[in-house]
Amino acid sequence: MADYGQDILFGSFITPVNANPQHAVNMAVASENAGLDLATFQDHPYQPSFLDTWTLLSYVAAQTSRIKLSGNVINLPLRPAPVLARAAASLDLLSGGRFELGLGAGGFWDPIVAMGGKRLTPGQSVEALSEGIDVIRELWNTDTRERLVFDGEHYQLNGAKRGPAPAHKIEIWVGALKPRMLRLVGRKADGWLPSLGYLSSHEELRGMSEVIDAAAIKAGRDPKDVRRMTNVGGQFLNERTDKFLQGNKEQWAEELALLTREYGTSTFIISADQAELVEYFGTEIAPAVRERVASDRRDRSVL
Amino acid sequence: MDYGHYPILGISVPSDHHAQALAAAQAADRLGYGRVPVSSTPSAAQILDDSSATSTDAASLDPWTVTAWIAGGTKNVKVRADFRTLDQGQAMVLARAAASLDLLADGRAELAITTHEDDVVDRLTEATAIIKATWDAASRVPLSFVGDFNRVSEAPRGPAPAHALSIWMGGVSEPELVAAGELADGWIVNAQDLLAADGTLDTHALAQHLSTVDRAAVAMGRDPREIRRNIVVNPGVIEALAEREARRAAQAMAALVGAGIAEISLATTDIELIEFVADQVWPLSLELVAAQRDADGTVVGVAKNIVARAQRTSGVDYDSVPAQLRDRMVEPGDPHYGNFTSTYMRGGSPALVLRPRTAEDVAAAVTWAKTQPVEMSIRSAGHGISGKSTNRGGIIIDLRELREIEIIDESAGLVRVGPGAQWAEVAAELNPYGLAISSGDSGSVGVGGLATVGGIGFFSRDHGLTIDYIRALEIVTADGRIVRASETENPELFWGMRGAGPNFGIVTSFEFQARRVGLIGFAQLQFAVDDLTAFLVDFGQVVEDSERDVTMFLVMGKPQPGQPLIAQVYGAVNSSDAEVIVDRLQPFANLAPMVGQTVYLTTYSGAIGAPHVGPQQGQGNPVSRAGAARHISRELAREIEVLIRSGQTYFFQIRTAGGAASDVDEEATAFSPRDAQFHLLAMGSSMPRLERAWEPLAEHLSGYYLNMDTDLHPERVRAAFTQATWDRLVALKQEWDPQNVFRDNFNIAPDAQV
Repeated sequence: MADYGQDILFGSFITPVNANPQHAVNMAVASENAGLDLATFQDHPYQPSFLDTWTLLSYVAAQTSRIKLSGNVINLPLRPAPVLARAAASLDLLSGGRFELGLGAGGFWDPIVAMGGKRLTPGQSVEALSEGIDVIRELWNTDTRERLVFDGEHYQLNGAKRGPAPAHKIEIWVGALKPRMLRLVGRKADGWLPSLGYLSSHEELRGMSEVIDAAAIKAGRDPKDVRRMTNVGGQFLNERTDKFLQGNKEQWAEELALLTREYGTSTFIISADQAELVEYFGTEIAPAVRERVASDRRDRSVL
Repeated sequence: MDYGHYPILGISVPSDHHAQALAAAQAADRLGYGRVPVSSTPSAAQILDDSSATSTDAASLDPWTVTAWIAGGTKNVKVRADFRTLDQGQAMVLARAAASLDLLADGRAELAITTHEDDVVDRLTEATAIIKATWDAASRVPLSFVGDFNRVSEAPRGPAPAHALSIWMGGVSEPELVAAGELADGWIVNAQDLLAADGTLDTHALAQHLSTVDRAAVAMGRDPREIRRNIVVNPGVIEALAEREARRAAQAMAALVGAGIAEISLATTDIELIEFVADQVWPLSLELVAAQRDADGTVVGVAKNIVARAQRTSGVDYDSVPAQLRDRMVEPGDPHYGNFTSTYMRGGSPALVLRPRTAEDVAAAVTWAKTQPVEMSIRSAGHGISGKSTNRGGIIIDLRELREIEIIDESAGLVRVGPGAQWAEVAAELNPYGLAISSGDSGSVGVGGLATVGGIGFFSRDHGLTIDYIRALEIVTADGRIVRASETENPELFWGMRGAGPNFGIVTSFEFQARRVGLIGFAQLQFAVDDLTAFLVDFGQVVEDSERDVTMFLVMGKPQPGQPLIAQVYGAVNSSDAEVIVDRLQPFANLAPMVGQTVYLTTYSGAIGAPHVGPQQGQGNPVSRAGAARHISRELAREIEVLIRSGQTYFFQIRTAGGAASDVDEEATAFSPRDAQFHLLAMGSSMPRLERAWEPLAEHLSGYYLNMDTDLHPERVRAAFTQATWDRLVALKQEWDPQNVFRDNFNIAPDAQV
C-alpha cells in the first residue's frame, strides 16, 4: 500500500509564452480563482518566445494572494544556486510564504551552452543539483551567523553571507526518472515531480517510488516527507473513454484517485493554457478526486 | 551644466523593507512620480541606526525579485533594480529577464547593471553589446559573441522589450564613470557617494564626475545629452525637505537639475513626505527649472542614442513629438521597432510609430503628425488590404491601446468599443451576455478600419452591415478636437463616418447597439464545380431566394492543374434550431456535388475565429479589385468563370448582403451601393494582369466596397460612390478637413470635382 496519507493538492502547469505577456499572469490568477493550491510555470531561459520565469513568478506574486507558486522546474544550470537561494527566499518573503522550489538539473544542454551556460554530463548535472540543494539550504539557514564556506565540485563559496531566511520552510521538488536522481530525491528533496507523460506505464511509478523510499530511509528520513507529485495532461470530455485522463469527471476522479491509492501521488498538476480548463479542474475535478481519495482511505483506514 | 533633460521625480525604496517599499511605490504610483528604483544598498537611516544591526546581518533581499514584485503591484511608475550584478555567463539571461519585465509591466522597466570585478569597462561593454543584441528580435541571425568574459554561440534572439529599455550604470570610480559615458543611456549616482564633510552635497565633486562621463561620451562619438542623470538621495541631505520648507526644497531640487541631474529619486518610504514633495515641492521645482531654462535658452529634450539617430528619417521632427506620446513612440533604432512595421499582408518601414492610449493622445498625435512632411497612416489591427495602415518613411498612428470593450447597457445591448480592439475580442467579450455585432469574416480584423467603412459579415442579411449597428461615435478631427457624432449631434459627420470614415477623422470610441444572438449554425461546404457559370448563377438565385437569417459567402482559389474547380461556400444561419439550419443550407448543398462539409452549432465568437496575438508579420504587395452587383447575371457569372480559369487571382470572394443591409436607405449612410446583394473581391499579385482580367467583369458591376480594393487613385475612389453621395462627401470634407489632413487612405479631396 503506497498511499502516504498526504493532503491531496492540485495545481496548474502554465507555458509562459510572451506573445501575449499577460496570458501567463491571467492563468495564474485563474488558477487562484479556481481554488487550485499551486500555479507553476515552465522554465526554459533559452526560449525567446517565453517570458523569463523568475521575473514572471515575482510579478505574479504581486497579483495573487493565496495560491502557492513555483517553477516547474527551475533551470539550475542557468540560475546558479547562490543567487537562486537568495531570490527564492526573497520571493517567499514577498509573497507571504507562498513560494516552493521546483528544481531541475537541466536537460537541454545545447541551448544552455549557447546562452552562456556550462555543459555538464548527466552525471555531473546530478552532482551539481545535489550540491546546489545543499548550498541553497545552507544559505537559507540563518540560525547560524557563520558565513558559509562550501567547497564542492560545482560550487565554491568562500564566506558567503547567509539569508535572508525564507518566510516558511520552502519545499524543494525535483523531477527524476533515473535511479541516481531518484536516490537524490529520497536523500534530499521534499517532493518528487515527474511528468506522467514520460513514463511508458504508470506501474513504473511503483518501482521508482520504492527507490525513493529506500534512499530516504537510508538517509534517516521518513518516506512520507517526500511529497509524491505529478504533471498530468488530458481532455475533459462528456463521456468516458478507455484513454487515461480523456473522459468525463468521474473517469478523471477515478484515474487520479487510483494514482494516489497505488503509488501515493498526492499532488496533481495539470498542463493547461486556457482559463476554462483550469477552472474546470479546480471547481469540478479537484473536489471529485478529494472525495474519492477520502472514501478510499476510509475503506482502508489510512491515517 | 544643464543638459536640458526632462525632470523626472522618483522614490527609491529599500528591498529589505518590502512592505514599506511596496506602500511607498504605490503612493508614488498614484501621485504621478516617474520612477521607483529598488535599492539593495541600505539607506542612510539604516546605516546610522544601530538597531538595524540587530538583524541577523543576513544578506539583503534580491533586488530583481523585489523590483518585479513591485512592478506587479503598480501601474504607472517605471521600475529599476539598482543594481543587477553581471554574473558569469548570465548576460543573455539578464537581457531576457529585463525584456520580460518590460513586457509584463507594459513598458515600465529600466535596467541598471554593475560589476564588482576588475576590467569594469570591458565587462560592461561586452554585457551591453550582448543585451542589446538579444533584444534585437527582428534580426533573424542567431547571436554569437566571443569575448573575454562572455561566450554566446548561435543563440536565438528575442524577445524585444516593450519599449526602448534604457540601460543605466552607476558609480563614481573612474572606470565606472568612463563606462557610463561610453555605453549607458543613463548614469546613477547615490548621494552617499557625494557627501561633503558637513553632510551636504559636494557639488564640485558632482561636476567633476559629470565631466568625466561627458568626456568619455564625446570620445566615443556620443552626445553627452544621450545620457540621462539620476541621483538617489536620502531626503536628509536636502535640509529643506526635512524641515518641510517647500520653496527652499524646490530651489534645492531645481539647482540639482541646473547642475546636470534632472532625475531625482528620493530614498524614503515616508508616505507623508512622498505626498508633500509631489504636492508642494515638485510643481514648484518644475516652474523654477522652466524659468531658468527659458532665461538661459536651454534646449530641452533627450538626445536619442547615436545608433538610433542614424536610422531616423530626415524631415521628421522627432524631438517635437508631444510629451504625452514620447514615452511610447517607436522609431527605427528601437529594439521593438520590428513589431510595428508589418500589417497583415504587407511589410513597411515607417519613420515613427505613435501609440496613443486615450482620445486626448490621439488628438495630440494628429495635431503633431499633420505638421510633418510625410504620410500619416492610421492603424487599428493592420488588416487593411490596401496597405494604408503601414508606410515607408511615414508616421503611423497605432490605435491598438484604445481597445476597451465596455457594456454600457446590457438590456439595450449598448456597448462601447475602442478602435484598436479586434473583432474576435469583441465577440468573446459580448458572448456571455448573448450579444453580438456582425463584423467581417475574420476575428483578427480591427474594429476601427472596418466600422468606419462597411463591415459585411455573417449577419449582414439579418442585421445589416457593421456600420448599421453604430449609435454614436467619438472622433478626433483634423483640427485636433474631440467631437461626438450621432443622429442628433453632428449628424452630417455621423453620416459620412459610416462609409467613408477615414476621410474625416479618427474614431476613438464606437457606441454600438449589439443584437441578441444565441447559438448559430456555422457551415463550410466545399463543391467540385464543372460549370462554374451555372453554379454562380444558381448560387446568386439561392441567395436571393433565401431567408434573411442565412448569410453565406463564396470563396475560390487558383485552379489546380488536372483538378476540378473547388468552390467553398461558408457562413452562418442565425438559428440554433437544427431543422431551420438544415432548411437554410439545403438549397446551397444542392448547388453542385459536395466534396466536403462541416456544419456545427457554435456562438458568433466561435465562428469568427481567434484574435491575432503578437506583431503582424506580413510582407509583399498584394493587389485587389472589388465590385458590387445586385444580381449575378449569366453574363457576370461567365466573366467570373473566365477570371477564375485565367489563374490571375489567388483569392476570389463573393460576400452576400441584401436583406437587412439593403433595408437601409441609400442616403442614410455614406456606404454605397446599398442595394448590392453581392460584393466581389479578387486578389492578385500583379495589378496590370489583374486589371486586365477584371475588366470584363467591371461592366456588370456598379460601385464597390472600399475596404476590398487596393486601388486608391482618385478616379477609382470616385467610382465607389453615387453622384449624390459623392457631392455630400466633398461638402463634408470641406467642412471637417479642408486641409486634407486625412488623405493617406482612399481620399475624397476637398477640392475634388463634384
